[in-house]
Amino acid sequence: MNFELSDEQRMLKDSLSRFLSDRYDFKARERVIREGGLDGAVWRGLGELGVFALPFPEEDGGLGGGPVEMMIVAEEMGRALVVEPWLAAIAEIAPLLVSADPAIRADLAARMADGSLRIAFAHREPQAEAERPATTFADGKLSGTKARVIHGAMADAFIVSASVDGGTGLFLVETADPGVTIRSQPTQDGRRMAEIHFDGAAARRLDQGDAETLIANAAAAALAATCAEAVGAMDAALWLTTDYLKTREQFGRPIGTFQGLQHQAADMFVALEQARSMAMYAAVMSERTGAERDAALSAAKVQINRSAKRIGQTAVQLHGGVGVTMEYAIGHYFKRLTMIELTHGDLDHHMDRLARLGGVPA
Amino acid sequence: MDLNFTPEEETFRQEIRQFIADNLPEETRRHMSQLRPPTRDMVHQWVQALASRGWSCPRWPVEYGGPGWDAVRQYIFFEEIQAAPSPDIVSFGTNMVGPVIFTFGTEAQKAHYLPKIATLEHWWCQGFSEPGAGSDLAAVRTKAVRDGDGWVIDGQKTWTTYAHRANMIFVLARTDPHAKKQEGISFFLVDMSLPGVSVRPIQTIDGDREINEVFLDNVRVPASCLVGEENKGWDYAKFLLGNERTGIARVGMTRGRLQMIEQLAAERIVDGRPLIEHARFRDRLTELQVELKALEMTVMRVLSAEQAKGKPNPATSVLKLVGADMQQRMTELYLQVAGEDAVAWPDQDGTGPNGIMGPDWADAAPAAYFNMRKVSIYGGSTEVQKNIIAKAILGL
Ligand SMILES: Cc1cc2nc3c(=O)[nH]c(=O)nc-3n(C[C@H](O)[C@H](O)[C@H](O)COP(=O)(O)OP(=O)(O)OC[C@H]3O[C@@H](n4cnc5c(N)ncnc54)[C@H](O)[C@@H]3O)c2cc1C
Repeated sequence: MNFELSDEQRMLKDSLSRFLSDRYDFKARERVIREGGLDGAVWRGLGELGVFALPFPEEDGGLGGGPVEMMIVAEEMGRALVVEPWLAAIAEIAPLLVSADPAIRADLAARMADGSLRIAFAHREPQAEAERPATTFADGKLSGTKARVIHGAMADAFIVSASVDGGTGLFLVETADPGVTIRSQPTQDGRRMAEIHFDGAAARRLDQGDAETLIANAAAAALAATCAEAVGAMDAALWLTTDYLKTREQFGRPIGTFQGLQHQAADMFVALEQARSMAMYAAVMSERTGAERDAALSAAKVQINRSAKRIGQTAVQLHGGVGVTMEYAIGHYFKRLTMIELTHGDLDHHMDRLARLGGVPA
Repeated sequence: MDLNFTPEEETFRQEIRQFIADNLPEETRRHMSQLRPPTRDMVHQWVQALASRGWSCPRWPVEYGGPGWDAVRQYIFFEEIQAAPSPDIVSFGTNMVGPVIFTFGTEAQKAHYLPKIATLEHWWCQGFSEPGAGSDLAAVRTKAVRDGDGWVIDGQKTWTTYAHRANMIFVLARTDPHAKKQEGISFFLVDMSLPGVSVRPIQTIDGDREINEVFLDNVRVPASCLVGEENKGWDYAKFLLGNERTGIARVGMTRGRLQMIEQLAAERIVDGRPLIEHARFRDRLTELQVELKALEMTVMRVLSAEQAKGKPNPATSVLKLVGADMQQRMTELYLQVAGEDAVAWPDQDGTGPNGIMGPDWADAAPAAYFNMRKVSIYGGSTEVQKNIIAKAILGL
């Protein structure tokens, strides 16, 4: 076993971490959120660092990064609480394109890799849980409604899942198509999501009849990355809290001298390390297939959710009143962690899935 | 041992229920049942209704305009109005400063202030905490200096709940900078329309505006604003903080909301079945109901011990910290029922609550979850309560 990062991976981590600590502090982030959730200069900068090229294969002009590289990126993004949709607009999209026509794929990958093209995955529907999408495709036109599309209103194009010939297909639709209507809404954690209505929008099929596999792969990649993002956010929340314990004084001494608080901080650290291990496990297992992969990812998400709740709630508690205000960073970490708990399957969902799949892989 | 209320107490409970049915507007009830913070108008209407029945200051003796209920009746009353659910009465006036005034105030102060509390003509807020004085309240630095026949108060308060709705604030201020920490503090009643008082909102993570900073910039108040004796303010503050005891568990409020959550979970389909049929959810709900029953019994035990002995019981720390935990875990269940519909942030951009999707309560669930983090922080944090149990009860 080897948990060490390679030199290249370390460089990726350091350069991204430096970029974000220079450019994306709490104030800067607040401004980004006020102005709509995407800072052009930050976006270009992330592109220049190669973050967007990572998930694409080298033959398409990408950097051919694997899940460990995505984990590294995601953790830094979580640490800085980045709201820009790097995951939903790029990293989650790459797995959906693998079987597309090579020319189309190379063109999309090239433009996504430099940040000039953002695609959103319009998959979930208001009435979720159906086996096939209620959205349909026929004669080159796509119709239906998609919900909770992260950054839907900032996308240049959508990949849309739709029912076709008794199966599911993936289709490319331009945002500018007159058959597309978008309603956008802010989220609890400073992002934006949209409900998107397609009414006979012109669509081009991307998959080769393997859409369901591609969708499952994309979901696995997104879940693994989200676990790593959560670890970054938890790590930051822990150190913000310990800094606070060292500087906040009550009863004539730093509150970090109270053993009751030291133990709670130690519990946060334990929860963080357990989560970190499972985020690594998720990254590595996300490349496997079938039940083994899904069970491993569910196990990871269960741990992430437990740790996120423990760390988020304790961080707020140890900050006292400061913890519940929008004016300090800690509450924003708590909010993001809470949203991570609720999305990509909540605790009970993953516990049930684990039980169904026969438990944690040996 | 008899765990039942007396027939008279049961009749009393029915009377309260009838009053609620007759006087609490359906719109308010619905709003409150979703765990939304009440609007100013909702509070106002409800307090007026209670006042016209003589119930707006439920803990007060008859001679000051209260109903003169014993502790059990007070408990029943609060449990019923919380479970209704109705807006909280403005406890800063009725439960906090009111009893301080009728216990330590002058006849003139009683005559001036008490009737105005009962009708909400005076809407009070609590100016105790400061940036440097939270758990360590005796560290307050706001100072009051004698000036002719009055005082000049200068300093800053923070976390002041509903200061933006209030027109009166009670303030702890240092009047003797040389005395020991607790011994140089005095208790003042300050009119917020006076020159030098300003209020800045603090947005909380639920998106609401509930708390504020209050700046007291050389505010000149008359001598009649001092309560009791100069430099004895800490004693009055302790009296005030010790007064909110059995009510602090908020059993009725948690019970009422759990029923609402159970209903919502029956309607919510998750993975093809109503959420309430999912064993893990059901377990969490049942565990909470069990602990809530235990808490209710503990409240009753503390109450009857206090009735018998006539003095406060340090076991009230149990009520505060268990009550806070119950309220927080109740909102965790609420959040789980909302699921991904909780991700929307209804603030800003005009889409209104649930501009896009989800049931009409979905935005209230994350707000309640985030908001309730406060209950283990204020009113003596959970850690402070544990310190009290360890020292005062266990002798450690
Ligand atoms: C929503 C909200 C509304 C409020 N409304 C009002 C109001 O209307 N009026 C008012 O005057 N105040 C109000 N408060 C203030 C509240 O009383 C304080 O937040 C509380 O006293 C804690 O103080 P602090 O926030 O400064 O935290 P701190 O005292 O700095 O505490 C930080 C952390 O240290 C812990 N800690 C502190 N001392 C010890 C110790 N000795 N041992 C172990 N742990 C310790 C605390 O438990 C907490 O976890 C409100 C607070 C909130 C959050």
